Amino acid sequence: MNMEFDSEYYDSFLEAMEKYEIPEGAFPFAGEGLQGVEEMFFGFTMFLIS
Amino acid sequence: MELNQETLKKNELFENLFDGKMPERVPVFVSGDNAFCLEYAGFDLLKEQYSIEKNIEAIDITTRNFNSDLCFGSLIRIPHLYKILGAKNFVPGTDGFIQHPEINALNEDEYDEFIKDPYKTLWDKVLPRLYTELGKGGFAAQKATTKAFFAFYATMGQMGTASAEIANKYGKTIYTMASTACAVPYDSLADQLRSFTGISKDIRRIPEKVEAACEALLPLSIKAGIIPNSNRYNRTFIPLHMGPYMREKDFLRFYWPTFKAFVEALDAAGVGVNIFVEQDWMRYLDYLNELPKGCFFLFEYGDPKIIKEKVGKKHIISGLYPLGILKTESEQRCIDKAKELIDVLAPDGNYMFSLDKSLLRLKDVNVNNLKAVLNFVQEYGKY
Repeated sequence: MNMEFDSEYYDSFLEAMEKYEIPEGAFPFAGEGLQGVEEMFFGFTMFLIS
Repeated sequence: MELNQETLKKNELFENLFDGKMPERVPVFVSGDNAFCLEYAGFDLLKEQYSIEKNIEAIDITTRNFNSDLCFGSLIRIPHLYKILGAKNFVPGTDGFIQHPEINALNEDEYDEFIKDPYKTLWDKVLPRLYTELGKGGFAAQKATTKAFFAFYATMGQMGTASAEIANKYGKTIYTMASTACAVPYDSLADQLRSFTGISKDIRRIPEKVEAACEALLPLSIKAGIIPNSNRYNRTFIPLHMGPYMREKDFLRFYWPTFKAFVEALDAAGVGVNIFVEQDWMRYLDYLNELPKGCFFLFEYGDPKIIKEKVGKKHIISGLYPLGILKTESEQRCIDKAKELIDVLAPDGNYMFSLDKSLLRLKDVNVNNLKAVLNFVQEYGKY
């Protein structure tokens, strides 16, 4: 069974860094602000079907 | 927030239990829905349930007045959120209490796209059917999504902070039943996507697609079941729904594989699970015993002796106290029932006292009986 989550509608951390053209040196600073909201949106989605 | 000594002591009670050690007494894990708390505080669901401030005020009152070991109240169904979204899946009844009607938001011919990308299909097909504002598309849907997203996290943030503060104020544990929550894949598919009747037909007509859909949902369940503060004490709540309504061979094929994989994945990540075993799972006890050590099972129905014998050595047992008698029986009879359960379930630990069902409404119980039982268990449950 596949345990890894993937979706056209979800950006992983590295996908987000690429999508928003974040320079690699800025990853540690941009990650929380960008990926954190992506993860919150995922959590919100799952609540909506719960 | 600096935790007071009594709260630290209560935390230790639960930490010992979750660590497989003997606590100094049986922890008392009884709490109420916010509707119960509002009604107990004298508020009207039709009005005050929309106020976060009033919900917090009500939960403060119940936590002060009921001798449980945790904050006595939680807000799970957020009324204003469902209004913003135009929810069809959670609607208030005439007295304001939010009900969940049977609903089917994924069509049978949409299984393939769901299996390919469930998250995408939720947003493209399912959510617009569950929530009328999202179904309008365009700006109306975008606005509703934005407002709902904000309302959800703002409310959860306020309630989470308030819950911890109230717990600390009254010397209760800050641990809760649900640090986060997620259903097992089959239940997620059944509950609001295919419905009880829909999935019951699907497992006969298109069984391979049901299996594939559960497997497609598994990564979402795992991801939802682990949040940044998840650990052995901040546990993930898993309500079980459909198992008892299935034949065992169907349970084994459709329900069990992804249920087991889900719990094993959380365990591997160091996350504890609080599983609400709804209905009667006596015929599935051996399966539950296969799950990783230290699961917390809150049973609704079943034989306490057999449950203790089969599951209680490896896992933590709870529930089984019949909420209904708190309304219909005498105080002494209610206390006797608590004693009877503790005598069977508490020896050697791995037991936490709780009711068999969620305490939803004030009319569900005689509150004096409930208070008497809670006070009794606090004393009688000492090891």
